[in-house]
Amino acid sequence: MIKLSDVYYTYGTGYAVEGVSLEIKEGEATAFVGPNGSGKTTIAKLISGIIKPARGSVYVDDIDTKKCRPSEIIRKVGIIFQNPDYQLFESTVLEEVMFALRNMGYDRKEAQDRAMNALERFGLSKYADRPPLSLSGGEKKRLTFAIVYAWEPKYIIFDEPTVGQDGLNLKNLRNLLDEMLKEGKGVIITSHDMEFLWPLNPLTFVVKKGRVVWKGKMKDLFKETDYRDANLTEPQLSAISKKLHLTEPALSVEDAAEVIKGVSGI
Amino acid sequence: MYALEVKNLSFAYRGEAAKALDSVSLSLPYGKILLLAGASGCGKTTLLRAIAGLVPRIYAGSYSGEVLIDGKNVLSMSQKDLAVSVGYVFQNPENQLVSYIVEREVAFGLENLGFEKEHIINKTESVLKELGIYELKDRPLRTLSDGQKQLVAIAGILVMNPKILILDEPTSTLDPATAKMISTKVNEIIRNRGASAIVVEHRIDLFAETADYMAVMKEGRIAEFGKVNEVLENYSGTELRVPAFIEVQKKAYGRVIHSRFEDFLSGLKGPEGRGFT
Repeated sequence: MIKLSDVYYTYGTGYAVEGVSLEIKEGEATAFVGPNGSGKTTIAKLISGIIKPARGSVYVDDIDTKKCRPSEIIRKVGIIFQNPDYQLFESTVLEEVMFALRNMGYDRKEAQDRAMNALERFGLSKYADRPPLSLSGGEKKRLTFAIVYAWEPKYIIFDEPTVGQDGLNLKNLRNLLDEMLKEGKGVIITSHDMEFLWPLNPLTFVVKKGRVVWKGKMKDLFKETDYRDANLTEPQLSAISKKLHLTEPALSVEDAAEVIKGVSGI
Repeated sequence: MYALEVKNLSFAYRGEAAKALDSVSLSLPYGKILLLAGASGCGKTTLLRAIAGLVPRIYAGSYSGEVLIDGKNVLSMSQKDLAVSVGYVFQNPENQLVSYIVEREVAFGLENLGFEKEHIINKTESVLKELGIYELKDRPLRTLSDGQKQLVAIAGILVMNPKILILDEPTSTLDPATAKMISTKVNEIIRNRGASAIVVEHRIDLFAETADYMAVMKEGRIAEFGKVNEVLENYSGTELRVPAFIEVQKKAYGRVIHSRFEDFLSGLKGPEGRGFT
């Protein structure tokens, strides 16, 4: 479990994160949503140990992130940033994946095996010898997934994973998240993309001005009236479910279509 | 005559065997918006670059066919004519903004093209008002939100009064409410000006309701072209992110009756006797 207790963080002026307490479990999907600049990514960085709380504590399992090196946390919590260009710097795709593994102490042979497996998993093994920055946007994004997947952290944070992704990449991402959840990993997502998150029905934290202002399952978020204040747009399936007077909203296109067929007698 | 005509255009980047564009033809009438969709790497960006003349001027390679804007071949146009005919808004405004203050940024393109000072001041003021960001004119760019930056980037292009506005994933870095605001604004301005626009978006729901036509590219070719709801109705591939309400209609009715979400929603009826709203 990851546990934040009364966490504060500042970049210099005011608090970017202010008095946040929450728990994240492995085997569950957790989402942080809210406007740009609300503190979602700062919370993600706090969880991954890249930054340490100014006040309060962040525990990953039984490790206090303040009292250990970032490299210890990163074995447990992998983070995948929104813009892949910021984290790619090696000369080939294979070396890019091997870099972190080597840093973690895997020998060359094992690092290479793990790296090739991860590239295979994300359909990138054919690019092993290419420079990372020569890949297309979608491929670079997949490469950053492969890099983190290679050392099998217990929790993976996806920072805005759907940005700039086409339909096919999104389906692959959804399958990946489902698999990781089945394997018992903790999946943590920051996103504006309610349409993508909706079928996953994650435990959702709405973040606004550095504070958590709402917490619950996503299916219940849009029953509340104040979601528009946090710049959230209601997923179409939620609006359709309301119009159909469903007590439990339809989480999939198939479920919504079945209800409509039943109502109109098609 | 069309605002834009692409005739049998093929292109391969230098040093690459595969064609990035393969016999692409399409025409866009004046005052219409085209939504261009397709998987990553299908040739969308290459097509936009060709329309803006960047392919093959900046990105060299083997080029055949032609691109006509207002009936004129882009390859025979001067750099200045091209710059004022085709306005290109990049995905990330950070890649496009070069000045310190909003007003200077919007004036930058016109200054570069050597227009008179008075003309520049008038044009800059009117485009800032048109986009509803006049009150930001003295603000440093770094103090703006992402959505405001994107509006400034669009203003810097619109100020040159382009015949064709190209928007390459203009909302991909924005939150949904801001993205919706940008798409509404773009639609309004294109309609008012009678210009034409080509929008590349993975989130097709944002422009599906405002675009007149939709094209789907696949492996360098135009795979589908037509009215938005027709294209979405016939589409059975996996590359596009089809809006949920379109998928629901296909599954429930076997076809797409409404291409606007609001219309679909208002046509829905809940079963009698269920109290939940």
